[in-house]
Amino acid sequence: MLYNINDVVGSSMVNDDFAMLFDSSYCMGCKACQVACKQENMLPSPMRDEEYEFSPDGYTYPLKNDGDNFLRMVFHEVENGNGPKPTDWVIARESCYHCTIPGCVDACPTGACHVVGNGSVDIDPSICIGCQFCTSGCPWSTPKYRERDNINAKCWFCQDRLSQDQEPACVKTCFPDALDWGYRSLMLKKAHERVEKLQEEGFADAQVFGEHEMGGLHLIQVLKYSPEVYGLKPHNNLPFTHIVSNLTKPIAAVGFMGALGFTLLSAKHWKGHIKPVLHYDPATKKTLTEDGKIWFEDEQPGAEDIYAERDAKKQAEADKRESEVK
Amino acid sequence: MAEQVLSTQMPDKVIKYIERHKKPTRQWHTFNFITVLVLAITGIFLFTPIGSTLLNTQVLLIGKILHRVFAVLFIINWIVWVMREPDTGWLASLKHIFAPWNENDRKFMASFFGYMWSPKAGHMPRQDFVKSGQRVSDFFMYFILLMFIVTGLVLWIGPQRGIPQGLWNFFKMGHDICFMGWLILMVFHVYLGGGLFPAYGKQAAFWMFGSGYVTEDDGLYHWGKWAEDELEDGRNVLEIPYGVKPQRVIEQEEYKKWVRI
Repeated sequence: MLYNINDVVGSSMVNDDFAMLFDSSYCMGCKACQVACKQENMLPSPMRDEEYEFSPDGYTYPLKNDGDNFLRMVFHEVENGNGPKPTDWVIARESCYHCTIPGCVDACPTGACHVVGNGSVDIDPSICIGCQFCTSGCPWSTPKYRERDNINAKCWFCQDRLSQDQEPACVKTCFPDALDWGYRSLMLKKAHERVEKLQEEGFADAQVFGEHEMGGLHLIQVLKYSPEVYGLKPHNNLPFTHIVSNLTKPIAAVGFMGALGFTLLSAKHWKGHIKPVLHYDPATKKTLTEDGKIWFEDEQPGAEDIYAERDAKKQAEADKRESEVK
Repeated sequence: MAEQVLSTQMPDKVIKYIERHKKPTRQWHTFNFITVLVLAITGIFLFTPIGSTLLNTQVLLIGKILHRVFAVLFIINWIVWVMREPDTGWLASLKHIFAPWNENDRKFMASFFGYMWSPKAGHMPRQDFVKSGQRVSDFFMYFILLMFIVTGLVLWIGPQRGIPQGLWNFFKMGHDICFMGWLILMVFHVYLGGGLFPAYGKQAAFWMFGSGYVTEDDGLYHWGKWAEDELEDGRNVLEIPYGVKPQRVIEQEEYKKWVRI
């Protein structure tokens, strides 16, 4: 359901951002959200049996997100010690987390990746050039390349639906109410209340995921177990490679200007430098100046050695040729 | 050098030229210059906000195709050079880079930046075909260009064709670092080799882009040992009238009558 600002007026947690809440403890793994996402965004699926790639050890499908799959539910099994039913399903949601500090936006050279007013992060396909830099800037490598259209694509929280006061398609279709949509502050409040309840029920590791990661995610998740069980990796920094890449640009600019400045400033020191006119004298086998002096021997004590070395080398070559002729 | 005069019309004032770069090397360098220039311009426009600020998406997408086309041409150009001059060009260039340094080479490198900044009355030590400073520059240039090719190909193949995302990110970082290094190196390369450095003069640009010949005077002053060896050997030396360009002598039959070989 959509929350009205009036519902939370007076709360100290009110802000303008919207967020999605995924309560994994309610999720039953029906994948209706995946189907709704596909339908809403008109994303194609394999239509022939041989094109399917089923997961060898679970119900997860597709095996990975790509340019045509913005959302997938990942199934994990946890042993619970219960004899007749020894495992619990742990279902994780894998889609864009819509960070408050989005690495994809930072990495995008064209501005296609941008933050929408409600806090969501979107990729504008009309100006995306498919460079995939957004993927390298994302700690979770979420945006994926769609070769067919030469663009990168990811979950965009169904901005078209939001603009018409509708919830994202996955939220709308989720019948166990594992998904919710509303003000971020309110989603956080609900998440914490649910975690408290889960902890009371014996899930000691139950926690909220997404409150602080990357400045706060706009996909808040209620986890019954620790994030590792869900395959979730908490990140609070942009990828190292992205940070270094970002550093190269100002360093290149400073280095370029520095090198250019060095060369330009050095030019003024060249006044008064006289280049001698030189020629080679075959008789003495030495370089001479215009007035007949041997060039450079005074400044370079080792010059004679070099001449001797060269002459010895040439003599050796001549001897070798002569011996070969004989 | 054989002192056989081919024509009695040989003018009094002659000038000696030494062949520094052969035609395949010069053609490789010119094509390399064009491809690298296009790659740099398209790269800057594609992968920094400059492009999207100045150009629309369709132009950028054409730039992306151009970047890839010229990357292929860049690689082909190197392969062609290796095939055309297997011994004297590419391989010789590598041999020079890894040649042992003598006292003069060390002295050259130590005084190079000071000389470039302010030579005063100083002159640089005698050098062989490739100066020690340029050997260092060539090493980094070759390394950077090789890394450009490797990282660029990985970026092109992409995670969608099996490259692990972490590795792709690493190679993207490598591509950026290569560009940073290349840009700084290129300022000095253009300054020294493009005819801007006062000591070399504007004729420096023509050593590679023009006829490939250097005057006896320039050769002796800038390289010393290499020029002396060449003048002593004589096989790559042209002796032609003052004012006539070596390229004309090579290309036009009428000038050959003046040439001492």
